[in-house]
Parts: sequence; structure tokens; C-alpha cells
Amino acid sequence: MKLLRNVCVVLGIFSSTSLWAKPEVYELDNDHSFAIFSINHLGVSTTIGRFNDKKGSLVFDSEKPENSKIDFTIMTESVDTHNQKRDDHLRGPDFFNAKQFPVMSFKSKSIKSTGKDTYDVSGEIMIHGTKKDMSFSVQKIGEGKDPWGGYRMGGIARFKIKRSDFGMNFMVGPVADEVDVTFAFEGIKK
Amino acid sequence: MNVIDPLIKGVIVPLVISLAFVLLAMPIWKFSRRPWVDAVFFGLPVALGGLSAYLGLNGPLSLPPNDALQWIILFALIAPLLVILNSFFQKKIVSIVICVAFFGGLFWFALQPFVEYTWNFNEGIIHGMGIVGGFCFLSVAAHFFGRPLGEPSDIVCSLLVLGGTAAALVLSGSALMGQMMGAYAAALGPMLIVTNFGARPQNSTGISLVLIVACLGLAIVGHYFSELSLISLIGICLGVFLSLCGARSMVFFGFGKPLIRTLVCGGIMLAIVGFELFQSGYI
Repeated sequence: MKLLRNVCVVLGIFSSTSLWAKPEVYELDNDHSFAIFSINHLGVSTTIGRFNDKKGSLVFDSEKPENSKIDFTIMTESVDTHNQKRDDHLRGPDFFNAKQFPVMSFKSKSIKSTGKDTYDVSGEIMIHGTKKDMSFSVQKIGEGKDPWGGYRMGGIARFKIKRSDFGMNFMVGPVADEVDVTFAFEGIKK
Repeated sequence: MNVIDPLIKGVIVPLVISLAFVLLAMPIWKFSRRPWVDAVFFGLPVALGGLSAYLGLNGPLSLPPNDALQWIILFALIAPLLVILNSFFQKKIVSIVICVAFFGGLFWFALQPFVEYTWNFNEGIIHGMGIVGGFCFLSVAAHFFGRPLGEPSDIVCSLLVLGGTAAALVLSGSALMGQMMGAYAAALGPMLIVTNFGARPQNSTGISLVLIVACLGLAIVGHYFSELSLISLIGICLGVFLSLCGARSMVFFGFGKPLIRTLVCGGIMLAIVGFELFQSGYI
């Protein structure tokens, strides 16, 4: 009986320490996350836009980053370049074709730590109905308690994509092929 | 901004491909007047012209297609082959079943996102019946009331409808679909040579089907995926009907002269373009 009690105590201690820490699950906070793109226009300027509706989750294992997972989805209908006419055109069949392809998504396949708070993320991105493997670097900015009793973590990723790789070929030239993407995210621990 | 490149890929190349087919077909017509010859040499060049424009303007076609525009291009290519398949069957009911299956397939694949995400079952049935019914009505009407495209006015009417639809699509927010419609118009252009020099096909079903799929298909996609208004879509349907089946139907109403029919077609398309200009806020 004593032995059984000791085993239970030892197991209880182990389960409450970081040795047995579970990966933490964060839900994307749409209000504090930003998917921003910038693209060269006519070789003379840069047009900047964003997607307002996003959702997703992040599973983060600080002890074993390779167990972490990222799964983000962006609603193409929510494209916003601060110009209604241009946004309508971007939603149409010439560009994002939002009714045909309502979402863009990214699902990680592997995550590796490359230094303090920096990670290499590889996974599958789907834009315009076309899936491709890609890798990019993510910088963790910080984590901590929020004023409402929750716990948050955030980071930022910057990468480039070629829209023609995803069959979005309309007006390549006047509107550049290469698009700079910045994804600044904040997640709330579930 | 280079405007020559889209002009070459979207107009010149389809026109040259179609012209090559027509020149090849003219001596063949002297020896053979079978439906498949008309379908292959009179319908396929227009469909191939559209395909070449898409390849040049937008890159490779995915197989299976991954968007509505690609499905339209593929079905336009299948349409002449359908006429060949149809020629093996004598019973009209079989032809009608093939027609319904063809346009049912086009509806299902081209409007898949709506079938999957937007419409409930009843809405899907209503939209499906309306669209497939409209396609079938025009095809059957073109088969029974149309005539071999023997008059240049038939081609001119079709060119007016394609050109007007192209402008309406550009104004409603899809320049690519407008360019594609322009490419089909360019590929239809060389058919004027056929009608002027007397090597006229006996069976116009092949080209009628291609034009119905291309023109009406793109207009429907423009309505559902872009901002083409329902009024313009109905006007385009009327234009397609007048250009493909109007020769006889307008005689019935006492407007049989080619010039009047051409003017009516042109008037409808002008009204559509004007309406889309207004809708898009340009006027």
C-alpha cells in the first residue's frame, strides 16, 4: 500500500513538471494578426494590401519544436487594398477568383529551431487551388499573460512567392510576378 | 506596358490557327460533305483558337481543369467531337440525352464551388435546370432552326455577339474572360472566307455548339464568378439565339433580311455594353 502511494506521488510530480509538458495549442486572434502583401505596380511603385479574415491554430512545443504545427487559412474574399474597385477586381477571376477559390491555406510539415526564437517552417501552401511546398523563417516575438486572464504568443514571418507558380498569371509584367508577404500573428492559448 | 504581346497571343494566333484549318478544309469540302468533316473543320478551329489564346495569355491548362474558365475551354473542345459521336445515332432521343449529359457535365464542373458551398439542394436543382435547360434549348434550336452558316450575315451576327460579350465581361470585372471571348471572335473571323467563297458547310451544329459553350459558358461564368449582371446575361442569350437560330425565326416575324437581323444583334449588344458601362460606374 505504501509502495503504491509512493508511485502515485512520483507520477504526480512528473506529470506536473516540464518534463511531461504538452505542446500548447494557440488559436489565431484575427484582430491582432495581419496578412499583408506588397507587389510592384508598373515598375514604379508598390501596392500594399491585406486580408482581413483569417483563422487557424498553432501547436507550439517549446521543448521539442519539431512537434509544433501551424495551420492557417485566409479568406480570399477579405482582400483589402483600400480601394473598392481594385478589391472587386482582385476578388474576380483575373486574380484571386474568390468564389472559385474561397480560401488560401498553409499547413506545416516540419518545424526546426534555428536559434533563439527563430524557426524554419516547411509545409504546404495552397493559393488559387494550387498546392506547393515552401519554407520560410518565423521569428517568435514573445509570449505572456494578457490583461484578461488569457495567455498569448506571437510571431512574424516574411517570405516571397511567385503568383505565376499558382496559376495567377493575369497581367504578369505590369503587375509584378513576385509578391512580398508578411504574416504577423498572435495566438490565444486554448 | 506591352500591349502587343496580348494582341498577338489573344487575337493573331487564334486567327492564324483558324485560318489554317479553313484553308485546309476548303478543298476537303469539295469531296466530302459528312457531318464530321463540318464539325472538325468548322467547329474545332474556333475551339482550338480559344485554347491557344488561353495557353498564351494564362499558361498551361490543368488536367483536370481547376477553375470554371478552364472547364469552358475544355468543353468547347469536346463540342465538335460530340457532333461526330451524335452522327452515329439515328434516334433523336439519344441525341437529346447526349445533349443533356454534355451540358449537365458543363454545369456541374464549371459551377462546382456553388454546388458544393453556396447552394442548398433546391437552389442547385433550380439553377441547374435553368442553365442546362437554357443550353439545351439553344443547342436544339440551333440544330432545328439554324441553317448552314451560308451567309456572311450569320458570321457577322455571331462576331457582334462575341465582341459585345467580350466588352461586357471586361467591364464587369474580368479582363481575362473578355480576352478569351475576343480570342473566340478572332478564331471565328476566317469563317467569313468560307461563307464568301462558297465552300459552305452543310451542318452547322459543330460550330453552333462551340459558340454556345464559349459565349454562353463564359457569360454564365462571368455572372456567377464576376459581376456580369443578370440582365446582360439574358441579353447575351438573346444575342446568341438571334445569331445562331435567328435566320428562320426572324423570317417568321417578318424581319428576315440579313441587314435587319445584324442591326438587331448589334443593337442588343450595344445596349448590354452601355448597361455594363453604367453598372461599373464608368458613365
